[in-house]
Amino acid sequence: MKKMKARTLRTIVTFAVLVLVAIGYFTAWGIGNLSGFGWDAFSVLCPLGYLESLVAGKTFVPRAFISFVVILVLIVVFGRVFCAWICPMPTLQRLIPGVRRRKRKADAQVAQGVSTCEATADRPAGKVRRVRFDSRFGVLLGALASAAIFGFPVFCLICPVGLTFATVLLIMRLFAFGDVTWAVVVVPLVLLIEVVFLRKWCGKFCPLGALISLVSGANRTLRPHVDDARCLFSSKGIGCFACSKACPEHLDVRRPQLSEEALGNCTKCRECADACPAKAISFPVLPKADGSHDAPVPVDGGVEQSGAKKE
Amino acid sequence: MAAQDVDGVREVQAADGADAAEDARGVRDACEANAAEDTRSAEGPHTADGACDEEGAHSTQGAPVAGGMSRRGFVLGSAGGAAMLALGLVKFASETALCRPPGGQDEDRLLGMCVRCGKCMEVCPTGVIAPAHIEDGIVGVRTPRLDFSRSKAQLGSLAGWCDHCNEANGGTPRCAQVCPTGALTPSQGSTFDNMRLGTAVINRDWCLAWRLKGCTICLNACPLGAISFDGNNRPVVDERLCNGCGACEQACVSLESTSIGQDENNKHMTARAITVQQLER
Repeated sequence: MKKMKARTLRTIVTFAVLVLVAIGYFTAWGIGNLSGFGWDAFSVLCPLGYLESLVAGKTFVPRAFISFVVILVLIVVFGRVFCAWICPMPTLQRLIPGVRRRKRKADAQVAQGVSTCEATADRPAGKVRRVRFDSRFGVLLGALASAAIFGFPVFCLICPVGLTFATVLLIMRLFAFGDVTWAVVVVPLVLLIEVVFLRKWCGKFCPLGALISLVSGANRTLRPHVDDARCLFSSKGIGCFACSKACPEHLDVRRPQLSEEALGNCTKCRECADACPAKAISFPVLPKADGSHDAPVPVDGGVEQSGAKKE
Repeated sequence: MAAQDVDGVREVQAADGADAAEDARGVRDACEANAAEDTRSAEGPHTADGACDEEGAHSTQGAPVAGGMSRRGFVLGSAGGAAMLALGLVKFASETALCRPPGGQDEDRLLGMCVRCGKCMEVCPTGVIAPAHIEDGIVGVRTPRLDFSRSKAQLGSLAGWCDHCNEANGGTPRCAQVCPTGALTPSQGSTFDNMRLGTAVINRDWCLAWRLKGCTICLNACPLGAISFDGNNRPVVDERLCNGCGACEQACVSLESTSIGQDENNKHMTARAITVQQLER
């Protein structure tokens, strides 16, 4: 039997979480949803929700702070696993077609080109910036500032994760309890607008992803590892780079030193492993001892400069 | 504006004085071409990377605004941040005063700290907590409110009013117990007797007893004796005794007993005749 694609598996896991929350709602287990997930009095709070709640309520709540620390530790241990495997947004965007942009392919290529270029631009070989501040951090700052000014968790109103769970629960309430409210229409509509029109939500806007990225630089486990003996590039010198092209985070799996944020931004989605023609990529729980990713990659500047001047 | 400043900086630094955006585009195209070559070439990437490095350095020299953010990223980020601030303005949309679970009486605290995880609704042993409707205010949508109007059919064996968890949890409200953010925090020494979730209000047009049909249901339902009869056997609420537990509203049969939902003046009835309302805000 053919091995299941990681993408299919991710979809299944995302829906399983959704179903679990839905069941929990009616069985009174008190597991909550992803805004505050856990058993009874113990919850793992959404870290962004906690920060918003903190600046909006201006009250320090020890239990919430402990939960925040727990989630930071989880991010260090598992990296950005949440983004690929649990967050419903990528799955929804895969399943619901977006507005097709005319130059989509060209844009994607440009984006990839830029990522390679910028990464190598202003830093010496081997030195990798752990966090690259992109537009997501603007949204994060805005969300926290807004929460502080207006005194309520502003981003929670439009968070696609929250809206997804709200949609499920509101529809369940509509049919189970006859709870009629415009929210049953408005909540899915806002979610749909985000899914359809903000196709680059995860990479450009998501403040939760930005917050996770701040911490995930310290993650060392489950990082993609390239088996040099199998990799077409390392073993045969073929410029394949199927892994880098497949990576939704624009990471250069083959040469992480050259990519924007190194592997801290890896969501462990396994797209690269699926794309690799030589099946050379694995996700070991602990970093491999040979440390091939930590070895500095020589960057030979100054060669073939004329080739770059295409204009 | 910040974006314009960035533009200015870029234009000063662009060697050939070309339009900044076009310049950036050109560089990207060049890099892209390189990347394409990169993949085709069997020589390995380093040469191409080197070239790309030079171009990259050129393109990002003027572009980074803060922390290496590209100009495009900066504009997007600013727009997103501004959108967040603008969204905060819904705070000033009108809001209905709602009855909240025990510990949620400080409305600012509740709206400020609730992240809408819904745990309180799940664990409530009497099934009285429901998510607030968007009609009651955008800011408070999906925050916990008390819904005393659920029908017996939906409730099954659940009580449908708030007893401060006296029966199910020894007097400690489960909702506040599981609230992860502290949005629901009952004051020290909060009990069923001294909690104030709201006040029962009787609609005299809709009340069966006030229409002299001899109903005593709310009077019997009230656990605090806050409802008494006047000289004509019509119920009145003693606001000093009422704690807003909702037992009366849950018990009231006026809405169900009028099959077409109309009172004697042929006015459409939209709720039960006795409802718990939040009067203090």
